[in-house]
Amino acid sequence: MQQKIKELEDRLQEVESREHPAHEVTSAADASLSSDASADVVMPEMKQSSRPQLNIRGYADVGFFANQGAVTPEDHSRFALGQFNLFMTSRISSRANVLAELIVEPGDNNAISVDLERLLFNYSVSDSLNISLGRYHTSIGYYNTAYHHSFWMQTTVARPFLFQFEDDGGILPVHNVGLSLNGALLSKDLGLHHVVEVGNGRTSRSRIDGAEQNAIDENGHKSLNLAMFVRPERWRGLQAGFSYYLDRLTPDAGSLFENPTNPFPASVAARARIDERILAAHVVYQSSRFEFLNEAVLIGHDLNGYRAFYTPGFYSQVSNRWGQVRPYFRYQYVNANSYEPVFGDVGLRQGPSAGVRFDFTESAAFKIEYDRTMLRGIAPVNGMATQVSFAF
Amino acid sequence: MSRSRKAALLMLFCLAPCLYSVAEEYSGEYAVIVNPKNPAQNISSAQLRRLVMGEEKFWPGRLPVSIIVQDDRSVERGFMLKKVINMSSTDYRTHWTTLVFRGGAVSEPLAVPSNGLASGLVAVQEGGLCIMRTDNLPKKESVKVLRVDGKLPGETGYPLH
Repeated sequence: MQQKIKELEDRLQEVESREHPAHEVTSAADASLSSDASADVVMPEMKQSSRPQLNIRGYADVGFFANQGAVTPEDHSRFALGQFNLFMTSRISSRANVLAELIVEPGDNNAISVDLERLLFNYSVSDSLNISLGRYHTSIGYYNTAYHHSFWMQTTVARPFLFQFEDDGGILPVHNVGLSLNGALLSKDLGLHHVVEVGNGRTSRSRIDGAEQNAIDENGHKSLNLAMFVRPERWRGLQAGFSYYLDRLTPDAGSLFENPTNPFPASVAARARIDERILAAHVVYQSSRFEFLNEAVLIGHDLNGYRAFYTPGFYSQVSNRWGQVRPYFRYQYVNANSYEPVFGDVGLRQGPSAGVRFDFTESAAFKIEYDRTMLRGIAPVNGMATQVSFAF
Repeated sequence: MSRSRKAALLMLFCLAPCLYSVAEEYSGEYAVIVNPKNPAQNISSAQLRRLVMGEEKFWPGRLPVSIIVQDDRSVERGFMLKKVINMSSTDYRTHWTTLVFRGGAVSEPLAVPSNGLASGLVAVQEGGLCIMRTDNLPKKESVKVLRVDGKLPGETGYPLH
């Protein structure tokens, strides 16, 4: 009860100081609420000014993973810590707030590292215009801005390969540092929303070096992402939209994937300039029971005008909840050219995942999942994963 | 916190159940109350739903909305969940957790244990919004009752009952 009282006291102070200076509150409150016993008790608490308060929520997951035909230490059966996510918000004024997502997680070398995955200063002008500055998740498709770094929120054990994080080998620039504008447009019944993002984009794709350009941009060219989506009032739970992302990559000489028997001309490889275009579209339906997610992406890389490579990918996921149990199925597909200059290690990956999620409390879930991944030129990989994910 | 403040707040929580309209049968109407300075006079049922869900965050004149809800035991909360947004209490909490996580809101709506506290907060917050039983409205004109779909409580066709 003491904690509840403190929370209520803090919220009231926060709310009141936002709306009125303390001296105004006292007089207004005396005039309007003197007949209310509970309000009388609260009023003295409103006289103090307050400062921004930090709200923290946590998300985390722990799992057990096993792959058939293990060839590397990463493929051995193993218990694994997932991401320990500290999600923070703080209201600075009635229009301004700060959002941050701090992740602590183990890397491939078992060392624990800390990543600031999101840090945004947000300012809301109106329902039509919200301005955000900092590090954000790029509005490419749906998944990336729906689940961020919470595995408890997503139905499945793992993210679709298409939307894996850069440091896990993902192929999309899912993080960016820059400016984002978004809001609702026109008719509220249609639920039309816009997103405009300008950022540093990403650098060369590498699991060793960070792909996100947090403080330094490898070139002066900024990435631009334009997205629109609708959430019709008439069909609640439905969202459909598209996005178009443009950037320029300038990898160091010698860092391109290329066909050893037919390499790129020296003039191209030595001063590579890759124009990146990413077109994404999604149609999703989510209610408290039923979920149907469908996303498709086409990534284009034009190498100095010499040759263009296109990498298509999609996933489709369906699930239905019966009480605390939610079985699910997903099929995913990504097909990159073996000599794609940026994704040369990706190749063809496709296959189904099937699993069951069991929400044994409102804030904790157990998931068990089977994955079969078919790859170009090598035997399919079967994997089994279990995970306990929770919010706290 | 001083001893007297602690005592006052403890008294508030002890008194709250007595002041509160707990889970009793109520077949009357519910009013949507806002601050008297709020320029809005009328809202649609759809807009009320969007406001309660945090999907619409500004009143006319770009006034930020502050939603105040009664806690889980109240008939007002039950009415809002069943008639306004058609959601379970768990789904509503999950919706707000998700909305905050996706950056659509800074925090969940403020939940208060009494109607007196709810109307008091609406009276001092320019963007305040609360759904309240019409027989629990404050007697003084410290809050404004909005028309819903063009109707005031008591008028034929008023939707919130």
